[in-house]
Amino acid sequence: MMEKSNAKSDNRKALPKYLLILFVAAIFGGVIGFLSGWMGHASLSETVEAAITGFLTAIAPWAIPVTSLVSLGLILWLYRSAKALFTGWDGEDDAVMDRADQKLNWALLLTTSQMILDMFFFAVAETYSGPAGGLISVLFFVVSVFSLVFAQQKIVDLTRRMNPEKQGSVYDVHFKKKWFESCDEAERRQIGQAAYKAFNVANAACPILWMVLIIVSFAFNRGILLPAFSVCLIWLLLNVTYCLECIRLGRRK
Amino acid sequence: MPLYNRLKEYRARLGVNQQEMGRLAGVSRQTISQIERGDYSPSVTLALKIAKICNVSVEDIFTYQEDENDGEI
Repeated sequence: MMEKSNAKSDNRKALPKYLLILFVAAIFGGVIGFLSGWMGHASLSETVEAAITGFLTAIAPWAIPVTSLVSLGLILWLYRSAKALFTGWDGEDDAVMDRADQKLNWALLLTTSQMILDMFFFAVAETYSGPAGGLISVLFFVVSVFSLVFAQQKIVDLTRRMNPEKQGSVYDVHFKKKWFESCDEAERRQIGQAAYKAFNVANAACPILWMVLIIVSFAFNRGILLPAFSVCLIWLLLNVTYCLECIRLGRRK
Repeated sequence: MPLYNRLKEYRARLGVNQQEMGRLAGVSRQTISQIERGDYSPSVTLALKIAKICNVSVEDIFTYQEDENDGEI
């Protein structure tokens, strides 16, 4: 009974703020919708579209090699710094190993980010380059992805030297499972917290992205179906996986 | 976090570094480091394991201290 009245009181407190947010969002959406509709009818959208197309056409052939070289340079620098810290470690100052770990984490983040960038620039190159440019882009894409996977393996190898209890090879298809199984309770908790944050960020990003796509479709008179389908599919997959896993983990063993 | 510990002190008595302590307890060096800093409260199993390695009782290493606000109505 007490819990029910507490819940009602919490709802009463939160409701006005929620309604205010809805009201502001509705006004904002109306204004943006009107402006994007106006932009779609005016020549402004054509000017913006031409500028974006020009920019993408210009960067298409060079985007993969240039960004990859920058990322791989930074990854190499971080890897070497971490390796130097590890090899020079006296076995006493644990802060040194923490710094080496941090450097390797940043290097891993860079490899993953660059791989996602490669996927995007590959699509850009295939859309905005000619047949020769498209073929060269395929070559750049393959070389970059192989280099990044190799870099990931080197980082994982060094991490394993620093933490001998860790298991798994990047080339193994079951790498993530093996790595997770070799993590202890504190590391698994950390993974859980990071995954929950990523889930919340993605859950907030999906509706924003969906809204942006709708606005862009009005402004540039473009089809919305495929982009909206992609966003909604990812959003659905994220939530269904999360809820099903919660149900599975909540079952009595 | 109301769980305080003297792991660093007991580890020093054993004369092992975090990496070696982690190996003895079956956890990573980072986990030992997090426990010592008070950033992570270990499970009962791990706390018992650490106490056994140090050859003392759990209460010698880990102490639960209630916050001032705890228990207030």
